[in-house]
Amino acid sequence: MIELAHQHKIGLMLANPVMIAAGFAGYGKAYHGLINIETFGAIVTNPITLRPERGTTQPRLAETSAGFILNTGQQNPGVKKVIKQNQNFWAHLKVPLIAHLPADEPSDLHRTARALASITTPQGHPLIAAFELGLPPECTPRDVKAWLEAIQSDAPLPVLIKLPLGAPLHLIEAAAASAVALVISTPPLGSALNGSELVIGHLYGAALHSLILQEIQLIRQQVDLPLVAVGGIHTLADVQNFLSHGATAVQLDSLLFIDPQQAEMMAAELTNGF
Amino acid sequence: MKQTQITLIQKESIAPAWWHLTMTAPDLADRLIPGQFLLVRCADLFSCYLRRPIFPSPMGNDCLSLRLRPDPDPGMAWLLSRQIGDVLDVIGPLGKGFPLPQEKRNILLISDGFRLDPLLGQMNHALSENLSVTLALGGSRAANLYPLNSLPSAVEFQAATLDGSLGHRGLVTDLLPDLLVWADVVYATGSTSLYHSLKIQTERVRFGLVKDFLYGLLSPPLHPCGVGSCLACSLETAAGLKLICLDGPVFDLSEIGNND
Ligand code: FES
Repeated sequence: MIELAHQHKIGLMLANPVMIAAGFAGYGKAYHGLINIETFGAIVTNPITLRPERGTTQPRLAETSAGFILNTGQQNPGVKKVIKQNQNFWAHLKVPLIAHLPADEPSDLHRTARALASITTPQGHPLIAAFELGLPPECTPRDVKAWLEAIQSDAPLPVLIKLPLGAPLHLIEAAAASAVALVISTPPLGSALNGSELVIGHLYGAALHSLILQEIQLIRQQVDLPLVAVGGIHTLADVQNFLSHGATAVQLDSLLFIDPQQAEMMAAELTNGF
Repeated sequence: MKQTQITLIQKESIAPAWWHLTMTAPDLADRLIPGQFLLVRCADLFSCYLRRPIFPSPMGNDCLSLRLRPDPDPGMAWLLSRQIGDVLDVIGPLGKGFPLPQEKRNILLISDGFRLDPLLGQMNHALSENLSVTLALGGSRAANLYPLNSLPSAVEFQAATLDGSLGHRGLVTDLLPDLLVWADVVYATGSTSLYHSLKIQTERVRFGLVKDFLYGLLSPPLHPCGVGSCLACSLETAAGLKLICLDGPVFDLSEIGNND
């Protein structure tokens, strides 16, 4: 077991350090029946915003060499519908669920977080274990503070912050001051052709691994709180590599598309061997 | 749906432009509905990182049939270069296939493309229910149409080729006015322009497009997850945003906008 939120009164205990990243397991149900998602240390949900988001127009996807570009523009049905559609499923899920909240107007973030934190089992246990706040590429320490206050004012759950790749030091410090752990990182933007159309979006795939490993090294020197590595992890060796170089836990992303069984096997392996 | 292995047991070259693959898939074959898809892992992470969708149809004895044309896509080219005995890692069955015809007599199957297996699977269903079936195929020339020499005699076959080398000279959609009067339900695979003319001509010939008449299989070349998590396959419909991998790939075309 690992504790990701030492200082927090509720804490965030994981059975193993292998989570699924936001965008790669829907709201938990997507892989139901295909793999056992309870094997993972935690599941981060797809983005949840106060109001429904239609997302970007097509094309949203372009394959690259050893990866792909994806831009869905935070498409989601809004917090009310997300809760309605998933509450029953979540109530029986035996794995910590971390709700991914993209940065938004503080008043909207506040309402979204409050709605999510207020859903509980009949016994009164919250169904959401923590939040992951996704920072946009451009923001200030003051923004981070406002977002954190908005989330936490009525929702006593731990908050992880997912940083943009290459975040400046003052932003890293601001995030570290208020989060229980930092998630490194939202992948960089890239563009690639889908037919004759250029798709601009986040880059996923094998190349991320070395970018993130380097980013973890830099951030490790600056701050002292748990770091979660995400980007291009494909093998158990990749996970070990991160865990022995500064990360407390990892999130799997595109591996879920490539080989879901392999992803599940890696989590199972580290449940026993950790 | 599961992630499992299927084995290539037969590979025939159907001259000049087609391949017919037969795979044994004991875990999947009898659960797969024509129109549903599998995501195949192609071994080369560099040129085909994402799994490729294939649309086979069940052919009895735990086997799946897949008719393919040579394809510039590296993933599909990889698949076509597999040899007998090779094992494929697949996820499926995914999505919703063609519905079974309910209270219909005359079944029209039509394609201007290469996803023939779902149509042939649907044909077998219809024949086993003693329904009347017409299969209409279109292509640029006779050599590009799949040679359906061994069609059951109960099936009426109509062809259209641009050069007139087989059947009607022109587009397969030229045949529609008569066929649409006859049909009680239409199952289509092919290009978006085929779906577009199916809709327009249905409205003209049948004075309106009702539900449960036109079904088409929408198939973007890539489906990263196939399970509704990546949202790469979103589609605007009359009933709001849908996902092709979960809500399709077979759609009632009366619910789909004209440019899709
Ligand atoms: S392919 Fe991922 S949501 Fe449809």
